[in-house]
Amino acid sequence: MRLNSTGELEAMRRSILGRRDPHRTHVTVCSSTGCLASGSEKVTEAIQREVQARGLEEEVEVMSTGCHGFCEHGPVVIVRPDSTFYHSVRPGDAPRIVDMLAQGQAVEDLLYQDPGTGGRIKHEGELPFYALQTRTILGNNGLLVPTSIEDYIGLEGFSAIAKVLDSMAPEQVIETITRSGLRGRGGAGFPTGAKWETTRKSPGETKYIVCNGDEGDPGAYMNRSVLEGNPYSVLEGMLIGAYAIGAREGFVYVRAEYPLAVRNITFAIRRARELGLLGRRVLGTRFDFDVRVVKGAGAFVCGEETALMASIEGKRGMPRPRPPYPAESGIWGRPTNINNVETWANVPHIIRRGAEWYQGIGSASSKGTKVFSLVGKINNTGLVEVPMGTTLRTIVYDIGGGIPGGKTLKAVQCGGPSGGCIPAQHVDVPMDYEGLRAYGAMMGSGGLIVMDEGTCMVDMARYFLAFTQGESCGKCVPCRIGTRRMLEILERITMGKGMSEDIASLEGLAATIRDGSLCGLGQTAPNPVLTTLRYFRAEYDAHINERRCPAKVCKALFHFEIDEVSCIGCGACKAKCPVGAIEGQAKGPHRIDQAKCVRCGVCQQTCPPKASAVVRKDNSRRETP
Amino acid sequence: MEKEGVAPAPIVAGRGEATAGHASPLVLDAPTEMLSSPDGNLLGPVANKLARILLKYHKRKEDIISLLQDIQDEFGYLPRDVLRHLSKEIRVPEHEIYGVATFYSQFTFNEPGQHRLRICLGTACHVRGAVGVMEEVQRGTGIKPGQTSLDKQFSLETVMCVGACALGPVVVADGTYHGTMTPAKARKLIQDLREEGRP
Repeated sequence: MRLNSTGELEAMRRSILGRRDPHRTHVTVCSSTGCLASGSEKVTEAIQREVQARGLEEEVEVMSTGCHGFCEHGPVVIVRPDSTFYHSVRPGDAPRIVDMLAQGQAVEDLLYQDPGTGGRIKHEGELPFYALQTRTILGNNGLLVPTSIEDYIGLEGFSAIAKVLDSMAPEQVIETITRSGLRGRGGAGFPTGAKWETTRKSPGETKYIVCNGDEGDPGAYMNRSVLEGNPYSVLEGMLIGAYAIGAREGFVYVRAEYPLAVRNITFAIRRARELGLLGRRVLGTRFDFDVRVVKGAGAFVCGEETALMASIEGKRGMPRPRPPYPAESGIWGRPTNINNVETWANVPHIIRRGAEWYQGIGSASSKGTKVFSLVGKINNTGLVEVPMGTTLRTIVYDIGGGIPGGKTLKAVQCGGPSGGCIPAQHVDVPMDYEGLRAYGAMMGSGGLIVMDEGTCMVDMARYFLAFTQGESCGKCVPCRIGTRRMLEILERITMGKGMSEDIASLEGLAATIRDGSLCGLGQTAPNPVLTTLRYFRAEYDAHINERRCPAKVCKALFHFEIDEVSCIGCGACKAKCPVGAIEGQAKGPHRIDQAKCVRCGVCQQTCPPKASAVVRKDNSRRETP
Repeated sequence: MEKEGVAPAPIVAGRGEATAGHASPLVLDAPTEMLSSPDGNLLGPVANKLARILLKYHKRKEDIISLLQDIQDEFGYLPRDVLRHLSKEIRVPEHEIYGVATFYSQFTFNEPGQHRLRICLGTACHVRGAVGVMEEVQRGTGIKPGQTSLDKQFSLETVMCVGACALGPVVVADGTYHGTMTPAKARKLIQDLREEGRP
């Protein structure tokens, strides 16, 4: 079937909604990468089996949906329409879930338990994790089967491109996007409308648009979640952008590390083509637009737009100087407009609900919502979507549920390897482009790595430098060699071999790399070092002057000991030690042979909590040469 | 024939990480698969596989990355002989193909093991202890990232974030995600995989 006009699209929507029984029970099982890894496929099968066994196929539909964001407690199952929220569901729970469906009740022990009151919370929207979010981009993830174009159309899908084709000139579309205040979600926050306008005005018949899904920032996965969970929303955004800019061809550049995202967006493109929503004469109009998927091959630098374009051309992904900007000379020298996945996904909402609606969300300088991936030492790991300007405190404590194990927050790394850390004392920072920049961090793609007192900041700086050093494409000497020199210094410090002049050398190298690199990778590579130096100088000093790692993370600077008084002699650590470094008799105190120990920490993990006899001790207190 | 000592790093220089692993006596240092006949032509089935891949593309230079991805999907790595023929087919010099292939970390020039272990070293996994997991995997398999064991049972890669951050540390074994890994769980996983391979 092909839709030959916007009217036919509306007719199809009416027919889809007409066939829907709003009272029919839907059991939605999250089937994104996170929940699949927790075993959601088996849960779906088990629930389906139980539904069939009871002959409830007419009354109950089981759906595999996209990411609900509450990834820590996957697999997530939501029963609609009343949105009963179950988490950490196992296949064995299926019979009880289906039994309770028939009785209109909930399985109490699968409901979320409020950590404060201990009470059970039944409905999705009442969970503290969701109650404080504004889920514009992620909201529909849990309501549709990601590959079903019918589901997307049923949720107002493609009504924005229909509105554009029916009643808006390209200039009006750009004007709406500009007025909305939408800024690029890839990190830099460049105004989207202005970018579109430049590309539109660039001379040339052939123009391209690109969806940047090369989410290389380790610890950020919001783009994966959108491409996996709601691929048609990205395509609709691209359709609107292509119409406004005057492009007939688009690319979706996705990381090969995201196989499910590649599969779902590829399927969505094929399906949209079948219905005449992509290809020649979109919805029977004179607008032609088609998209193809390009799989990245594992290079962080390809998130940079000129490197990404080189990669699409089949070359090594190395950045080039700007100007000329891609808007003037991009892929194969043609004007090219590149936006992030999340930016594209915002576009249909703005067109549907208007620029004024969008302006009403967010802070003075940053409009709309932002998806953050909240990971690390946090209770509720997951994807969080909040209005721009929401404080970090709200995200970490109210939505994220705070730090596990009663530990205290130390810092939050924001913006990945290009960003910086926000120390705990600045947790009231408003999360928008300017707010973060004031603290030396940046929005980046929105990765938030939460760190507690057990995280060593020097080790974190070393980690990020090791990452950027490995990912440096090698074109600019300051970046290629400078990051390596910085890494060597940081490695030396974490080994307890730091020298007093090291900090000055780090600062000097940082300035050179920042000023002497072509692209964002090099310019921002020193940020993690500079911000940790700014806020955690004492930790560097402890490593260098006292040969001590205050967090007891750097392996050369601490060792494990078994406290003979607390040790109950259970032998668990001895049995698990991979290198046979633990000696001791049953019921008697055990001890660690430091010469054999590799500091893997298995003994500490296996020691029963009631004993907690394995402790980390500074090396400086033990006599070592 | 068994080899003593650590094998020289494969062509993917710089990809393998020099982390404290213990003895690694059994490392595959070059692919052993026979893909060409002595006269330099690809063996029939190999040539057919390459031809099928080439059919999907217009043999344009811009398709190099996609072609290499398909070749790696088919063979598990990028075999030298196949790349030599690819070069002739798409009329791109071999050195340019290698230039592209060595730039991207997805590509490997070493035959993968029967079990492919990918360890996520993304930030979320790192702060939750991925390094300890990786060291245990290295101890258990005797190989370092970028290497394949001589018995071809295991190959090891590191990945910068698979995007399953809530489950960190993550090890992907033969496409299956194993979450909240600890050194102890990693050890068990390797034992299980080893036994799976036995009749």
